[in-house]
Amino acid sequence: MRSAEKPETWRAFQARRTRNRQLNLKFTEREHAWLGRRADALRSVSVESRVSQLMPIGRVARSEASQTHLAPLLLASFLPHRQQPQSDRASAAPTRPRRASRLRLSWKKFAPLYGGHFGDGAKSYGRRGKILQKSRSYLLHDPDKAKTSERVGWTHTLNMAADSPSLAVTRCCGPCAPPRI
Amino acid sequence: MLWTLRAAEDLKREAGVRAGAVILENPVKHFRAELASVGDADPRALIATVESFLAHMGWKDHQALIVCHTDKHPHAHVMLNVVHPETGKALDAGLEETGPGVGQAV
Repeated sequence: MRSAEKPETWRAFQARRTRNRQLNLKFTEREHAWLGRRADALRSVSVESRVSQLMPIGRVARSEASQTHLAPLLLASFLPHRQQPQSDRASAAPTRPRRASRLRLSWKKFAPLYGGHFGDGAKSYGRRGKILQKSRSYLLHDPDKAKTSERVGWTHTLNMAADSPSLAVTRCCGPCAPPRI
Repeated sequence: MLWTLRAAEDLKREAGVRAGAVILENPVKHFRAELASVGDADPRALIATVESFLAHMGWKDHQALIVCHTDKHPHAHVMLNVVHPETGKALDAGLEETGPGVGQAV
């Protein structure tokens, strides 16, 4: 039991909330089939009368925590989508201690920490596109050494839908996957 | 090539390959190919040589761009996409370090 003088710590609150959730889940699984059978018969009755008829279920609750969560759980069982009650948790939650500061990194510094798994990863591939474009410009056009017509004899692509080298580097995605433009 | 690189995770997902967490530092592999006979710039011979080399290394399914330079002596630069266009996996470079005849096959 919690004492009134000593405030509940955040760790104790988390443990209590986890325990209550487990109790409620067990209780709901056990009684939910019975509630489903009773719901069809109680559709024409008001909500107050439903609760009054369903309150005897609370007698089988084994702890104070499950009793406090019982009424909103019963009401939630009548909703089309089964959902957990949110009111008690929000009111009973103490103020969570916040961190002093959180580092805000840019995408270029942040993506390697998590392996670059951010959706399609377009933001973490920005620099690689530049690498490809620089390689393409060196191979196809290098005006410092020679003219393009003298430098490049011919080009050829393998396993690509486009034969144009410029298009192959920047746009072409291959014969199997369509380009995402 | 760029779009294949960007769609690597999607390609892995479609091919049923587990998505990896490795970020490729070099999305393309580059090497140069020359024929033994100096001055020979036959495109068919160079392309066949490059294809045989890619098949030898196990990279024949990867996308490649072959550019022949004829300013000094005829040679071909090969820009190979590291990402496989069907499975999204990076190429296996193990044979590059341990395989026999590397550097002489072209």
